[in-house]
Amino acid sequence: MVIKITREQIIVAMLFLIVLAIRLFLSFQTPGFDYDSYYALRQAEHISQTGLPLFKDLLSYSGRTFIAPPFFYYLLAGFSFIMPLELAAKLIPSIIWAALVIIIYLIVKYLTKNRTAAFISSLFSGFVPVLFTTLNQASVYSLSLFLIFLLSYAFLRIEEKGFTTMSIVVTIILLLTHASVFILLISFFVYFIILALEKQEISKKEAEIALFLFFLSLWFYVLLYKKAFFLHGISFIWQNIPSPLLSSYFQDISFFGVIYAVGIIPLLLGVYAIYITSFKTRNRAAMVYISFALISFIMLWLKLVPFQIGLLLLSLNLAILSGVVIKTSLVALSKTKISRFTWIITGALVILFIITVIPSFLVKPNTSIPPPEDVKALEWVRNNTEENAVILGKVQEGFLINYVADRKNVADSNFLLIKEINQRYDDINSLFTLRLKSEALRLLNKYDVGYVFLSSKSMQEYNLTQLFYAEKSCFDLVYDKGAKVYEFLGCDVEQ
Amino acid sequence: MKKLITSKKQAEHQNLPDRKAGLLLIALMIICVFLSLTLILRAYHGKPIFPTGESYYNMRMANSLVYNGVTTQDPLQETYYAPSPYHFFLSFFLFVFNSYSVLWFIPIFLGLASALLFFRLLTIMGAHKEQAFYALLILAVTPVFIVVFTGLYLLGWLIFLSLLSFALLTSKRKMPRMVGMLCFIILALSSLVGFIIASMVFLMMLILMKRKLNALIAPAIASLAAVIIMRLLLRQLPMLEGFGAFDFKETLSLLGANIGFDLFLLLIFFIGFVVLWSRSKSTRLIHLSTLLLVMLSFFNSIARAFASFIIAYYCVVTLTYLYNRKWSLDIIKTGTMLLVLCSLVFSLVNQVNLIVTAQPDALFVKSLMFLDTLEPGRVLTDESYGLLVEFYSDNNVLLDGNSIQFTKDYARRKDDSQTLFNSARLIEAQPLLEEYEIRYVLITPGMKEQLWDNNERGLWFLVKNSESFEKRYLEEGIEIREYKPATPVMPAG
Repeated sequence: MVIKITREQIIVAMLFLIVLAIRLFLSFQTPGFDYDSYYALRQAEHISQTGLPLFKDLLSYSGRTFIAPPFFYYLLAGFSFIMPLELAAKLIPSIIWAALVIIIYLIVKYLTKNRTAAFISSLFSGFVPVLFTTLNQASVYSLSLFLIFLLSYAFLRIEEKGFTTMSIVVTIILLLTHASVFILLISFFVYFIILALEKQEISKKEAEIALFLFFLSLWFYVLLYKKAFFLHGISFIWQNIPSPLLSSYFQDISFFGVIYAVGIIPLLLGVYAIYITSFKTRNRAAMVYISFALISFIMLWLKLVPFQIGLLLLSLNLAILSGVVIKTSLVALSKTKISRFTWIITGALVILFIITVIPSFLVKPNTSIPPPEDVKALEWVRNNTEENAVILGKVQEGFLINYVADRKNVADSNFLLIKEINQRYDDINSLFTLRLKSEALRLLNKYDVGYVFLSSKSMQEYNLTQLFYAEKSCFDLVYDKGAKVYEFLGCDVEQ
Repeated sequence: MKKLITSKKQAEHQNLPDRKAGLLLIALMIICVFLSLTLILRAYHGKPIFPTGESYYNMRMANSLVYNGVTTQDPLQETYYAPSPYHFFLSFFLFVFNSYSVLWFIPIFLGLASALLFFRLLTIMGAHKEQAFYALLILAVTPVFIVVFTGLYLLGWLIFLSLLSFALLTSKRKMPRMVGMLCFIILALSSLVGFIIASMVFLMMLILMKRKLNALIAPAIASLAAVIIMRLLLRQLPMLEGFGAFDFKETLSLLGANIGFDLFLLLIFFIGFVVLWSRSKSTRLIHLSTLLLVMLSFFNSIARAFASFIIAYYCVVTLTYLYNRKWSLDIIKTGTMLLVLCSLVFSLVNQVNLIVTAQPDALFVKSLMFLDTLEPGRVLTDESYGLLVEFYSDNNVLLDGNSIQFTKDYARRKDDSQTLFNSARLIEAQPLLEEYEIRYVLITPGMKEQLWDNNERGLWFLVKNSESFEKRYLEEGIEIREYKPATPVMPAG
């Protein structure tokens, strides 16, 4: 059997390879990962060693239970057998992010039946600035967003043979990956409402599959997170994030923020696509992505999704919708006298897009990658401290302490199932800024801290060069090369 | 041939009552198994039959009625008390059988009777017998039904009385209608909010059945008159029970609500609502009223209990719709039906598990029995244990589950109890201990975990390290300390 490779496939494959190459080039410029990725690395490492995800962790919060769908970590662990884990953690998410351009190409092609529009939209989706904030993240969102758009594609073609099975399989993988499937499922119901309002007939198969997937997802997550629901109540939605952190995690949405993250061209074209679809063409398939964009925007606005993920969803949806406008424009152009300049106009649009997104790439991103001196300090901790020692670091550094130093932390960025998280978060912050020794000793004893890790980042953030209360009678500065490590000698408040 | 078909139909028609009775019997048996299984599981784990909460208050007040007669004050807590017909009902059994054991059967009896009446009302209102049967099965797994009929809850009594009143008041004969009116009056005297909600539901029923509203007006006027007379005699204002600010934790059983909805049942209800809404324009007013009741139930626990019954019917509509609908793919149909059934099972198991694991256990009861042997004195413990302490040890507590309703300075007491729990120094705790005349401090493992995160902090640290607290009981983490302020020593000379 000879497989015929079409020019279209070659072009899409090239686009995929270009996006991947750029991502990998930029990603390998910086060694290491952002702070939260070390959780994924630990999970994958544990799976590759034991075959099971890390459920009862003795290091995080000095002992806690993790609840998370493990598919992404299994994927990383699987690849860690053929390459080093850290390489897999750089490579696999980048491949998945880049593969989004293929899915978006297929979606837009189905929506517009126009290859040029599909290609331009997928180009937009490959280079939206917000996507490049994920460069050093071994994030579960890479896979979950890919699967979400794949599921939406299967949903579009649900009437065709094989797509029902595909949507069920994708949903099951998605359920085992991340809970973000609900954003799409809610969008489906909004889509049905819009259809009902427009007095269009709701496809029987679409309604059935949406209902089934909704019940399946709800049932799965209720069973999985029952304990967390019970413990945190409705604040479970915000993942029990401490109040002071919540504002930075779920930021307020601003108009310029959206332009910066999405790019002005996809934003304008996407918004115009919403207008022409809603009031003129009434394209059913485009309605799915209008609903999806609407729900992404509302969730972002109501701070129900992390800022970065909300923007990613919004920008990818707008990139898809911009395909509708591009197609309409191309059709309109072909009917005019300047139809032979279509390619020039298309090229100009692409160049304009590139020009508008370039400033976003030139601005140095607000990196959250641990500096090498901090990593070295933690490597020293790994080799020179007792195995059971509890290391106090910033909450953000918790996973890094677990992964690099292989020691217990006081807190990290996974707050689910942790009681009195606000108190703990405040205590940790005050341990870096306190001047009163007695209070510091009380808190250090409370969390059974053995060592205080004063990273170069913490020094920068708290504007200090040493701990104020670290007197020689109770503390020993055991490491001082950029970052500092203090050994707490176990004094009591009375001493 | 035609004759044969007619005779077959006639035979089927003659068999209808038998089939109806058969379905009803099966449903009642299932309900009986679910309810009694919950209580049996508690007994199997060596726990008292009733989970912590209102049951113990109702038993204590019923007992008080038997031995002290009618009162307008809680004899132990010395707070406001309006004589409740429910307490008279319970005290009757206590008086006749002279044992608390007889009360174990009351909730199951009320549950079965309520289910029976619900079945009857559904069939009266035109529901098909199979639909009524399935409604009972769904009702049997609703969290509210399981909770209120596995304990001595006023809510269970209100539901039973309401359903009984509806069934009797819709009768065509005069005598049952008179009895129905009496039930309605008793309902109003038991709970004003319960009466108002029951009246609203009854009004909806009458509209749906296209009956005259006279069936409601006369009993409602008589009931209101009875309430006014009763309140004038007692010189007390009626209380509006069950209201609270909207809180998911109080509304969804998944989040730990005691009287809450199951999330899945709520979703299935909404599908049923959409189905019924789109089916007929003439009944939309009724469905809108149902929706309003469900919305009200997010703010009131009594409305929640009533809504649970109505939701059960809508769930049947959903299930029937999903089952009878022509699906594009059989696998999706099977999958969806399986998921819905699994969610119903989940609802049941989740609620039964909550009840079975609830306090008190044998160890806690043992400590309370010990407390009963000590000299009387006010006890400081977690608010949720208050009613248990009162029942088992006959001691007054600073706060109990009813304080929010009956104690005038509840907010202040609540703040003070928090201050006490957080006090690690006697100098902070002493003024409050003396102001409230606290004699005993009862600390349980649950409190140690919830209040102090299992670290010896706050009051736990204080009672353990201060000489002013004498250890009276310590077993399996349950501690009873007696507060004995040190007598100041006069300086020599």
